[in-house]
Amino acid sequence: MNSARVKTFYYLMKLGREFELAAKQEYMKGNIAGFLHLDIGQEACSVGSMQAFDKGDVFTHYREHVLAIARGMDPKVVMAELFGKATGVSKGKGGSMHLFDPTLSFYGGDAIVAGHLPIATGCAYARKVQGEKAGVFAIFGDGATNAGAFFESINIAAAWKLPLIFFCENNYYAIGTRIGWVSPFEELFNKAKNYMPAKRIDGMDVCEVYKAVTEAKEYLENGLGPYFIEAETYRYEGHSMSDNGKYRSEEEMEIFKSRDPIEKLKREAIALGIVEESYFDETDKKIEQEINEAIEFAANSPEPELNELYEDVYCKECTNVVS
Amino acid sequence: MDYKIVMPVLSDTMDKGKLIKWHVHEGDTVHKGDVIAEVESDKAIMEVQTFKDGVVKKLLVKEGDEVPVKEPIAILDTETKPQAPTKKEQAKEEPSKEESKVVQKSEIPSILQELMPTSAPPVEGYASPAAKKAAAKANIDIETLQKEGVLPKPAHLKDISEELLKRYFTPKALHLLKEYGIEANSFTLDHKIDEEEVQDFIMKNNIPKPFPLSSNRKAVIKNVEESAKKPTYLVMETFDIKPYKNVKLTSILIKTIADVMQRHPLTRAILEGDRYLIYPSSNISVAVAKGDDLFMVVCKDAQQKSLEAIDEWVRNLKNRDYSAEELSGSTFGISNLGMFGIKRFSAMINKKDSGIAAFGTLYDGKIDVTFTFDHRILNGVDAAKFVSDLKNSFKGNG
Repeated sequence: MNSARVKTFYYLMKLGREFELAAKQEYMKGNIAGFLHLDIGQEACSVGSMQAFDKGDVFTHYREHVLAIARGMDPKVVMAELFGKATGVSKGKGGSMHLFDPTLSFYGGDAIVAGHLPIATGCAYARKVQGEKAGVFAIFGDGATNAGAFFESINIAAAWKLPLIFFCENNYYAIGTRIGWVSPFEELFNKAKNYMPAKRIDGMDVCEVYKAVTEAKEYLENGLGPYFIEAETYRYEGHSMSDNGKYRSEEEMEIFKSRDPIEKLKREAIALGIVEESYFDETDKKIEQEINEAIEFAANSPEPELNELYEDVYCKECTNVVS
Repeated sequence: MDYKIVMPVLSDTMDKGKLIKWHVHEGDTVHKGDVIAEVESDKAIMEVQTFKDGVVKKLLVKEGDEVPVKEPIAILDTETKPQAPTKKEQAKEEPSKEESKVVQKSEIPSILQELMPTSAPPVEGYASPAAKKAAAKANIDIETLQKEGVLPKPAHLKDISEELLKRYFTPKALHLLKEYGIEANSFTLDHKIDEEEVQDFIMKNNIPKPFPLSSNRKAVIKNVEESAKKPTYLVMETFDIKPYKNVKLTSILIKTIADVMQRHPLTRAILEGDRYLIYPSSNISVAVAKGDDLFMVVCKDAQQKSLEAIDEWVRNLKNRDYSAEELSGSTFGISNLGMFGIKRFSAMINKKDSGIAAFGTLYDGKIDVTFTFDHRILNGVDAAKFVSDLKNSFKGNG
């Protein structure tokens, strides 16, 4: 833990948390349409992994607002995208599930569970053939590990030693289905351990996530093949805005909230004397300001023009691709 | 400053919401994140939280009203600084009973509500629909039992059936049912059934008690099943043996056999595919009974050890654990039932051994020994030479 890094972690996690809370509020006010999947509780996974994996390509599931922000996307353009405005990162045509920015090598939001894993695997294959070292990072949830696409991806990635990190956010629930009901075990790294190095980490601890992804990245860069990380985490909100989350007990929620990643980092940083306490209050104020600006920016941005309907439909016309 | 709380948009297809329940009254203080109401969207019942601190100035709609989304449902005064404990803190102190009821009822899909027995009143509590149905039939009050901590939250069907069993069986009787795997419906459930009644039932119907195998039993079974496949033959002889003072008979047997094995290579051999592997050492597996378990512990390099060393090894056998290393690598075995007064018996060959010697009890300075040999390793002649060599060695103990 060094001071600058802890500050970055805290700032991004808190920014992510406040962003999600604001998004929730705006959704309830009717300013955001479509689906909205909140990352609250899982910030350590998003921030820790994106801070560690800073070079290669990133393929994500559709709970990716905080990932995008941690990767370097401006909260303004993310919020504008949620609002469906022309200034959004995907021109307001993607919404919450499609935060896609080739300049950041961030290919965000596949709306099909595990649907992005074969694509990430293909990209890793391309990178290997091109002789590039940075590799690919694919993040997905526990539900995805029951999909055929997942098994096919870890299989071929391991067989061809592709530079690919499989990062599983195990929050125990695939929408409302407890992973243990539909999987023979709840510790999902077991599904990959015969294919590649696989470990289970505390996904509520940003430093542990950072460390694990850094190790995996080094493994990739040495051309040793794929790597699997399972981060145990928890989402505080429902699966989406229309899910009340009643399938989980309050006791379980309490247990995980007591391990809150943001509070934990703050507590430890103060206890170790790495960061002065005043930093946190100042940062919180700064973040509040930033979020307000993002909402304002989104609210005041124009809707997409009607002729945008005909844009980005066919690939040959499109510049917005993985290069 | 007045802040309007609106009917929230909770899904992409929701155009109006039904206010199910207010959790606050006018004049209550609320903090950011507090649940102020429950609202039914087109998909589920959801909790509405406030995004600002303040005092509830006015509730604009009644419970049960349907309100279009984005329409105000309450007004919050964000100017007044909260003083009193918030709703949230109060709720922690005294959980309201009605809250859960509202949510619970709607949890039961209508199809199941139809299936619920009409005679029995619907059951309250946090439980699966199937559990509630069963509870209603059995007249079990889930809610009260959950309060008492008897039933888990949420309660499932298996919890209800366990609860039901507790009503008709004493704990000891239940234990017996589980132990013998007897179905509860074998009994007429119109009184409390005690241990004695279950015992009588067991005797009357001669119900066997399932007794799981220990891992040692499983290993022994595997070993003897393999052993039974071997082409074996017996050789019986009577040896003259003089026991020494303060030395166990088994130690003498091990030492003497180990020395004689050095002159008979095939007793130090195992069969592997189309060849023998003949080991230089005399490694003898000794049958040891430890409690209910049976082990074949190997005395390694017995030809090199002194009788005293072997005796110490033998005496320690019963009071220690064995490593995997100590349970393999033998080429010949011995088994002794003499201490039980058994005159003669035959033993089964252990693992890959070429044979085994079964020792009976000592009488008039003699012991009857029955050898079992593996004919694939020793022919009758080889065995005869080995046994007669042994016999001579035992005469006056070499």
